[in-house]
Amino acid sequence: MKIGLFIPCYIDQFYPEVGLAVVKILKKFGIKFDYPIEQTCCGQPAFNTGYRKEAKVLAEKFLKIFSKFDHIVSPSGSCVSMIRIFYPELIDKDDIAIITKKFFELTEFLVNIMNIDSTGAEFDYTVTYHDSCHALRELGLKTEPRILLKNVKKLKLIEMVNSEDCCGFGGTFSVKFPEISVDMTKHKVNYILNSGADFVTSTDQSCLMQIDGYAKKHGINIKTIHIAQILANF
Amino acid sequence: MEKSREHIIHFLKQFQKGKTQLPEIKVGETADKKDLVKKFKFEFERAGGVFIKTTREKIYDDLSKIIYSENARKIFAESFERGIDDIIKSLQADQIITQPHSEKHLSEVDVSITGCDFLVAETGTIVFIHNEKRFKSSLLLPRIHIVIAQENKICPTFEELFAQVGGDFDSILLITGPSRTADIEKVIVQGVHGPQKIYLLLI
Amino acid sequence: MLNYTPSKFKENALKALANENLRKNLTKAISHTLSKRAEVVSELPNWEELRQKAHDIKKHAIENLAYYLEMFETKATENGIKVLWAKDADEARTYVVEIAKKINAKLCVKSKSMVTEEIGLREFLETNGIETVETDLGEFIVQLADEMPSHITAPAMHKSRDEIGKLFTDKLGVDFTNEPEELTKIARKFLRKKFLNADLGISGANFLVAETGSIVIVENEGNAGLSTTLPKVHIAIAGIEKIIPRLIDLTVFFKILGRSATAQRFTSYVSIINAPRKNKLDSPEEVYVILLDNGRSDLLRYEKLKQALYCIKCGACMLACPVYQRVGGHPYGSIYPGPIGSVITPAQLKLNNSYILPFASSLCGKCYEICPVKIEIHHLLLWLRHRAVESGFSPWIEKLIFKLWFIGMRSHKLYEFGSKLLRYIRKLGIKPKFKNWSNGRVFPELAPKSFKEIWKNQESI
Repeated sequence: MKIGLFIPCYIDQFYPEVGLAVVKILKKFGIKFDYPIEQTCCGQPAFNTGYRKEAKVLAEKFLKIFSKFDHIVSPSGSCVSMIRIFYPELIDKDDIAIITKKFFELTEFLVNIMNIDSTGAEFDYTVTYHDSCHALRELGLKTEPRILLKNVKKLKLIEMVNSEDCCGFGGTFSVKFPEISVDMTKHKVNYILNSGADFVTSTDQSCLMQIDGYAKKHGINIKTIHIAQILANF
Repeated sequence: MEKSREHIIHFLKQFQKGKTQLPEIKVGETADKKDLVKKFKFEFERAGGVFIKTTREKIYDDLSKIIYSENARKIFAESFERGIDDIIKSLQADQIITQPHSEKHLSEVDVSITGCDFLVAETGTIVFIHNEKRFKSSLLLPRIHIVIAQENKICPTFEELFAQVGGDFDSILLITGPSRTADIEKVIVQGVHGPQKIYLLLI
Repeated sequence: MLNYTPSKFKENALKALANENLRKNLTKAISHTLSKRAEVVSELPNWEELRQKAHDIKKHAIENLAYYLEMFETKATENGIKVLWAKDADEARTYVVEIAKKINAKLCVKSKSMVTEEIGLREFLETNGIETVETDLGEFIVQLADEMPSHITAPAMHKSRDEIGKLFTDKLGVDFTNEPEELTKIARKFLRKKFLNADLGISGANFLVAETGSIVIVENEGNAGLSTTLPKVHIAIAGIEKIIPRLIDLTVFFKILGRSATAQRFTSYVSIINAPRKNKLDSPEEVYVILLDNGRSDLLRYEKLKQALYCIKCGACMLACPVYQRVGGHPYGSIYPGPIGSVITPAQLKLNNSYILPFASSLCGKCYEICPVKIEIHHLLLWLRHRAVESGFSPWIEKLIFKLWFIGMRSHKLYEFGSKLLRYIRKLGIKPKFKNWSNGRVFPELAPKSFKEIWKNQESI
């Protein structure tokens, strides 16, 4: 089984440690994988802002780059949603659904494909989980991340109220309607604080980037960490 | 107008698909009558109605109690079978109307006493089929509405109701509890335009 | 009437965000309704199955719209109802005024109907000398205040009891009270006179049943029942998408409409009207149904957009939407606000500059989650963004940025060059200044080495 590694563009540029965490996990379980260097972006920013022509070109290029793999893994519910749910809208090919079904978000890959429910990691903190909208509502991921977190040694998982509420990022929404976006983050940050957790984690670094950016701007002591980094803590 | 009609239909026909199937909606099994009364009572009361189980012997007392407690002076009553008609005529009130001469006339009564055609247990709904003998406005104008119904009129669900009624009627009014609104700060207030209280006397 | 148009969404949304009073009213009303809704939905263990059934019924009806509309027309006409077809708002309004003038109507009572707001009926009747009174309490309040309704099933949701009390004192001359019960009594007394003297009654329709030619109206107050019974003539105006095939289909919608719209198990009144009256005293002599297109058939042009016609106008999506929760309905500047409104307004009503509305969403998908007929509203919004760009809606600077971005992303060599360039610029101490991000959040730091660089330089990580 040949696995491809897809590292989203913003993780590549701003949070490479998240990508390295995924590499560490895959290596631990002896999973043979490759990272095709020609990858750039799945095209979601263009697609979300209405630029479908550009998104389609990037999508076709993207699928070509990953065509040689049986499965492709990525630490992003959002990008994987773009591929599985929206590429079939962009590309009108008979087998498009089969091709895009090969792409997985990290936690669903581990739990549902590899039947791994524990990475043997340790994380001595209280952690609360933020359900990113794409991971939850497009990919249907609710239990997979939680199963993996519950099996991390010394980790105490505590649920915040309204974990399913949007963090306010929404891609270009965050800069087109910044005031509304930030107001949504304000509420999310309050839920996180009220949960009493040391860390907030998620399958999506874009959400964590929004939450972290808000917290730092307002001097709020909230620590964000991508779920891959927790799971790679061994 | 003809032009619009042709234009719209012609345009829509281009997109006609016809392929999808309509989902099947089953009528379901008829439940035990005793359970149905219980279910109806529960739902009717939950919707804000007042349910009174009565008999031909008790009905005069039950009606009188309501008339007295609601301070009703003017009553409108539909015509029922002889026995009930006589009981109603003998109620203590200033005026008992059976043949209203106008809608304004009906709007002056405090209470209307009517029968009904069906009762639906699943939601506590009373079904009125409008015909020559029933005045729709008598169901809506007065402050208090009293419905006298017989147990055999209960059916379990709307599926059953529609199966029984079919399509041959002028109009139907489904009433589930009193008139209400939550338009002001989501506070529920009863008796907006329709009756403030609805009683069901089940024989 | 305040200046509410979709093009002013951003400006009005900001005002709403800062309006503490409005936000308090909205939060209270919405969270109350949502929690009640959760309670009544949990009573139906087959809720998801019902949603799917409702979706399938609507899908079938919309995909065979011409067939069912003709069936409705035939059956209704047989029963004595007069069916008229209006291709746009103008035609519909003209029919109503013609009918009103024919019967020399001076006073008209209206029950709640989004379609009549859509075509601006009330104002048109009044300029034609026909006094027109909204009889639904929420709409009555909004009519007195000369405002647009802010939600499609709870039009006065944005108002507190004090505001309503003051409104009644100012406009009706009554002593001030802010008790909901007292305020309701005042409205009942005032409107009762109107009901009894009205020449014409106008309603919408929640459903039109093709099989039996029925008009179905769902309500709680009794005002629709009175408006469609007391006056001599009743006109029902309905969008062509209101058609459902069979009477039995109502049983599905009975279960989901009340729960979704007002968190109720069932509404107090449902009128199913097949024919004008038979007895001499009660009910209208003439009943008309005006079938309104007004851009609806256009939605069928696009396979994706067709779903928008399944909407049963319950307003649940608005309650679930985090943007609507914060700014309310008015900033959308349309009769249909919130998520589904952001689809209908640019796609069907085609209001000027309303393409901004589909962008005013973080696409969280809660609208789809709550929609009782399973419309993929969040996907429709995405699709409309595409239409917006195609129609030249985007600002030139945005087009330029995406062009450059696209060039960079299309070639991984350019991407890597760009990556190095950004780091060089950063080393020079130049920090990005983009106030649309930085006003509320700190910018993330460029990592010293990108993942690609690390991967390339350490073959064994």
